[in-house]
Amino acid sequence: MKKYINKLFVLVMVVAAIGCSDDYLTTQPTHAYSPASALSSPENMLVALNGMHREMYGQSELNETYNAGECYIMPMMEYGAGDFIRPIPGVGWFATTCKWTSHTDANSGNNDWVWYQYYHLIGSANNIINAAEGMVETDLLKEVLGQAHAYRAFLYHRLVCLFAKNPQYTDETTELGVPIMLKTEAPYQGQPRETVAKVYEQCEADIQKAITYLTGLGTRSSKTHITAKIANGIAARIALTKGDFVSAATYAKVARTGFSLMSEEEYKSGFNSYKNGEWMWAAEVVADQTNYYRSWFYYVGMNFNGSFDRGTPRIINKTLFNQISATDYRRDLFLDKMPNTTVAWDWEKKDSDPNNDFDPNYPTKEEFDAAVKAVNTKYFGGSASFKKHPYQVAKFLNENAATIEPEDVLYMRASEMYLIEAEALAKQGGKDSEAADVLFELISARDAGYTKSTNTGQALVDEILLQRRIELFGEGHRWFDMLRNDEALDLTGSDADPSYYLKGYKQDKPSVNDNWLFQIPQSEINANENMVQNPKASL
Amino acid sequence: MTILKDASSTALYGSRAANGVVMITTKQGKKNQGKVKIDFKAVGGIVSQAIPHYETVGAKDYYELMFQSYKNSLIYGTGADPADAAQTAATGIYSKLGYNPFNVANGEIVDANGVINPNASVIAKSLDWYDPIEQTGKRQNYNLSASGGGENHNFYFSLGYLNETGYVVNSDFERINTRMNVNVTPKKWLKMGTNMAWSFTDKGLASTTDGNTSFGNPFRFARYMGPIYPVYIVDPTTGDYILDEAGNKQYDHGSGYSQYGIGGRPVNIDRHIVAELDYNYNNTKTNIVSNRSYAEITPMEGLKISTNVGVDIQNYHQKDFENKVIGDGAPDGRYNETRYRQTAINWNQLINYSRTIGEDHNFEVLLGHESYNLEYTYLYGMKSKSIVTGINEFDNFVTPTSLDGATYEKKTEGYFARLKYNFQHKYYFEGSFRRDGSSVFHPDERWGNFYSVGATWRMDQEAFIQEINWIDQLKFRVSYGEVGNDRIGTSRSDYYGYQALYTPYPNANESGVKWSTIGNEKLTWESNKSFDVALEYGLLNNKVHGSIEFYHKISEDLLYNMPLPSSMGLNSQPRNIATLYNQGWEIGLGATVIDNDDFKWNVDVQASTVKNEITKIPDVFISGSKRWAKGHSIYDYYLYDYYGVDPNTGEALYHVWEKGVDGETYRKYDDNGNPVLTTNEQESEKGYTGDSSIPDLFGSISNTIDYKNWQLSFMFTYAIGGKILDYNYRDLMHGGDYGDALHVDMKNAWKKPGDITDVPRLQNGNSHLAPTSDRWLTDASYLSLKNVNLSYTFPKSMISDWGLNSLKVFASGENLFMLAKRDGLNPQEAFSGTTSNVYLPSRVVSFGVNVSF
Repeated sequence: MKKYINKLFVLVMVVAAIGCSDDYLTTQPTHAYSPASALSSPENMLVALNGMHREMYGQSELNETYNAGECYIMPMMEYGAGDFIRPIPGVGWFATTCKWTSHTDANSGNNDWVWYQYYHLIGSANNIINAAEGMVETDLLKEVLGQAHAYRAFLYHRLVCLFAKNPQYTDETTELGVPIMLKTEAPYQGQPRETVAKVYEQCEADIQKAITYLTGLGTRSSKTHITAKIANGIAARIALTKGDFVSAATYAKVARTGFSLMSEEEYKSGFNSYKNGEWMWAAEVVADQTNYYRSWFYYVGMNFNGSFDRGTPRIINKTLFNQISATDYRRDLFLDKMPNTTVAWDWEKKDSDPNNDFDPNYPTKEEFDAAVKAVNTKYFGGSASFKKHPYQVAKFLNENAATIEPEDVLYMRASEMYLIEAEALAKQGGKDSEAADVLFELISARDAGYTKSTNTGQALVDEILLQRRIELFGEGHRWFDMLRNDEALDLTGSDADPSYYLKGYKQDKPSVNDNWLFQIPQSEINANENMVQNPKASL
Repeated sequence: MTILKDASSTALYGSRAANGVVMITTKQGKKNQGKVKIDFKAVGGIVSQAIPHYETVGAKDYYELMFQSYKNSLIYGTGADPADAAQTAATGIYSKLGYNPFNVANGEIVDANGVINPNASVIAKSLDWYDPIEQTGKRQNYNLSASGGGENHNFYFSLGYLNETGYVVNSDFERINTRMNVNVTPKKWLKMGTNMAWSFTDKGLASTTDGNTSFGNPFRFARYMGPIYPVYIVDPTTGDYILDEAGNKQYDHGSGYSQYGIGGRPVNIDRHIVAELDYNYNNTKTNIVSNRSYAEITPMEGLKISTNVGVDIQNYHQKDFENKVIGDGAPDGRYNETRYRQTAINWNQLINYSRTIGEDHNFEVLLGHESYNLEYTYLYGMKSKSIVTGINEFDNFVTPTSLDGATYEKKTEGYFARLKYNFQHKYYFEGSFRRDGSSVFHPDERWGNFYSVGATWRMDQEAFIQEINWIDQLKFRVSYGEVGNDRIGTSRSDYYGYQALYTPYPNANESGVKWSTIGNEKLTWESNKSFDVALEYGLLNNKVHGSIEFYHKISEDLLYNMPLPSSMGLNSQPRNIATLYNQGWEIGLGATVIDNDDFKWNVDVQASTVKNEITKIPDVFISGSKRWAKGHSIYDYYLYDYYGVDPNTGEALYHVWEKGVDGETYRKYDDNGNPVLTTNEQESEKGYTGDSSIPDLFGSISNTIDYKNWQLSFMFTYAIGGKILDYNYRDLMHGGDYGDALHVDMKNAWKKPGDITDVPRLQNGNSHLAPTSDRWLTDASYLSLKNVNLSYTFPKSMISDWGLNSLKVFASGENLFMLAKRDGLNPQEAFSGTTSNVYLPSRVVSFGVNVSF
């Protein structure tokens, strides 16, 4: 037996000798980097931050429909908010947003998306902030940390606006906000919702840090980057939402200083280029990083050549349009006499049928056809496949008509800061004339016939808010504004079809109506035992 | 083909055998004194769809039902007076649906009672969307082989060709394959061999594998298109085709044609599956080279030293063109290519020593080492703006919009040893041990140890059994074995499971990376521990034979991408998430019912059961329609509880589930013991409905009948019990979305107070009428005639004059018949019990000839 054991021993040695080397099993991906290397130095952190800048507007693998960040979220803030209207059902994008059956549904992909996108970016900012602990504070590190903190403030602010009630009409010390996540680490236990007050404290602390870090730094290489002025702009938004009007006015003024207002020509050039001097914070989208049919203009544009755009003209709420002064060039962006091609007019019966079965703006088929041809040439690169409707929005235009070329994405521009400053001054009380001055500076650039407002008190606030609706139309502010100003939704007189909009046609104001609250996504509730849902909508 | 099920035999194959081993023994030549044997087989057949479509309503029913939807949306959605709502809906439903396929005026299709105009008849042509995308497919299959061998060698060589056109247009499939198998024994102590296989496939229109909900999926598109929308542009007044200048029918894109008075569809605007199948181009070419080679030396009697090398190389090239007229390629046309190469190399070194000591003690010892290396490298690019139509190459496109590529790698290494012993070929014992390492895990957690033991008692070798005449074979075996598993999911990035990763994401012209995975350094091997015990028997001159087996398989430290709260910033993490088991019985019974010289009839029945239960799970979580919790199966449905229809309002009612202190949910009852109901399912939790997707019993029944030279064989497969969550049916039973098709069961929808029905009212815009709930659970029992084969073998006497060895002609059919709960339902689609818009199985009827000489 012993000789067998000896032989066996030899064989074991032979097998062991042909084993692989120790590092055989250590594989490194070619498509990725470890956090340790990605966040190892301020230079590398800047690269990680650039990834976040791109995630603000780029198509994301975080979600099954590959939504593209703000390109999707900004339109979501318009379709349910009543100024930016679809006159016909058309293609289904944002149909449930219009009907209010999306944000009120915990299983809705939209809620999932906005929640996950924002918390993903928060987590990305946390990774950077936490990795910087103990590093020497160079200018480069300040640039990194300032931006990371600014992002966190921006993101928590947007989350708390959507998922909780506004502190101006609720008790923020008891109203539940959102969980404050400052790190992602084992055991990955979901956190409970903090109060609205706590979330605002976090936003304010972060944006203060951001301003401190960023102030005094040099110029940026891309408008996607956040500078001290952008941080001030974010701070202004936060303060305004919270009702801290003194701070809001101050921040807004700092933010806008140094940015010029658009000329009429620029204003009418399509809102498609980051090069616009008024644009403060924006993304340049290059051809090989296109978002295809998840582009911003796919959802809001007039002549982006996607099925949603061709089949679903977007119009301005008629009641808003009628409040735009005749001398205001912004009125030209809304085509009230657009020939209506969403209806198959029966011109032959025009005279015999008293039911006015033809486009009321065009007495004859010839005039109608000529008008269609003219707009096809002017706006649609000669293509006849876009549907048209009176009051159509011609604000967001592709540089090359009827293409799917990616256009740039706007997050913040100087006009908004004028409007915040004016509103915040007017709401402080006793500063009406300063408010009117700021408003005049902006509106006189839009409306040659505008004279300085003599309104005071609430009338002045209302005037400023009306100008805000006109100026920032379609840019993704309206839903937030309605929440902030506790406005009811009523589409009467808007050209919206009540049998299409259904529950999205009329809603009481947010302070008394829980339907405005975004439901916490069910996926979060399922995975986070500390999570509590918002009150259910009653639709 | 052998399926190795007992634990000790799979242990040898390591982690790649975690789900069992199917050994395919390829054909080898026989030593035949230098003679060469030629075999030829030719089969031709026709291909059709095996399962009927779901039954959907026609145009008239559709208008009546959509009238209800519109009317109720006015009453319950906007608070309109019912009589006014009925009037508005009667005249206005046309404007919601956009098409009038009838010979009556647009405003007079239904009356205010919701009844179709008695004068209405359908005049619009081409309302069937399945028709233009379906065809009768054809299959041709040829196989030619040569085999032979001499004293020191044998060889086998084959050539095969398959050409199939599926029952959906453009779903062509072509394959050429060859195999060569050579074994040589140049010296007494040396054996070598190689088995080389090569195949090339060419496949059209992969769109059928497109996402379940994508526009490019023909099943989805045709299934849900309302029955009033024509494929081609038709004149609204006459219903006849409006032809283009060349006299051809024109596709109706659904976006409206004001020149013809056509307003447009409310759904699938500017999308058209028939047009897109027609204009687009999609082609995938794959070639696979596979080689298994070995060398074995025998330095002394009983000792074998061998090495095996396996190489699999797969080259894949997909071309995809989307046209400029309609669909995602519009308006410029766009084109993408995916190319990848996957190389898997497995190399092992084995030492085997066997010896018989005395007469009774038979030993065999095996020692081995193996390494495995998988490399996947891909390139994907897309360009837009085609220069000319019809050339599907990057050069023919202008603007690059994507260019990606990366390489993924996975490696494993293993050491193993096995000892076999038997006494007098009656009592067999076997034990093995493996140590496996995988690159998926952190160096500290990388190695796992796995062992197995087994014993077999060949009772039929015992004298006391041999005395029993009617027992021919009797074997009892019992085994326990562990196998490691390092596969987390199907994603390539799972190869780096333990690593947290940032991936490239440039921001315009600046470099950028994004946070992509959380990683898990604690991640380690999942261990599959199988215990089984079986009795194999052959009785009455082997006229009755089969086996009875019980198995209990534990998956310990199961690998899974665990959902995290998305507030973590990334919503999943690979974890060793749970321990669960599957256990059940497998019973096989074969019987020779008749055995005469001319007539034979064999029956073979298989029956299995499976029970699944989670025994340990630190973090309970919800995954789709299931919830993973201790004491439950991963196949137990966790859903809203659909209670029925409120007879007064027609609303759907849900029995509220309430969370108890233990975290489980319970159906809620009021103080009088009545169920607490809600019309908004989201006011309820979800709960275990008590149903599972696992059948109570499943298996097959085969028959083979020989009469003289004729043979008829057929096999049924069946499952009894279990539920399927029929998402396709749910989507056809929606709450009244304008333009979407409806199932015929929708005709039972509630219409007026007092109606007793289980189908709620239709109401456009109400999302609470048909959400996912236990309402869609359907009995998954089925009986399917899987295949039938009838053949005739020509008698030797007749064909030897022709110089043939054998000649056989046959006819066969696959998937000929299926009994299931509902038309359209494929209960076999997924073990997890859900349905989606996938390519349904084909029915193939074919005829063939098999000749050898």
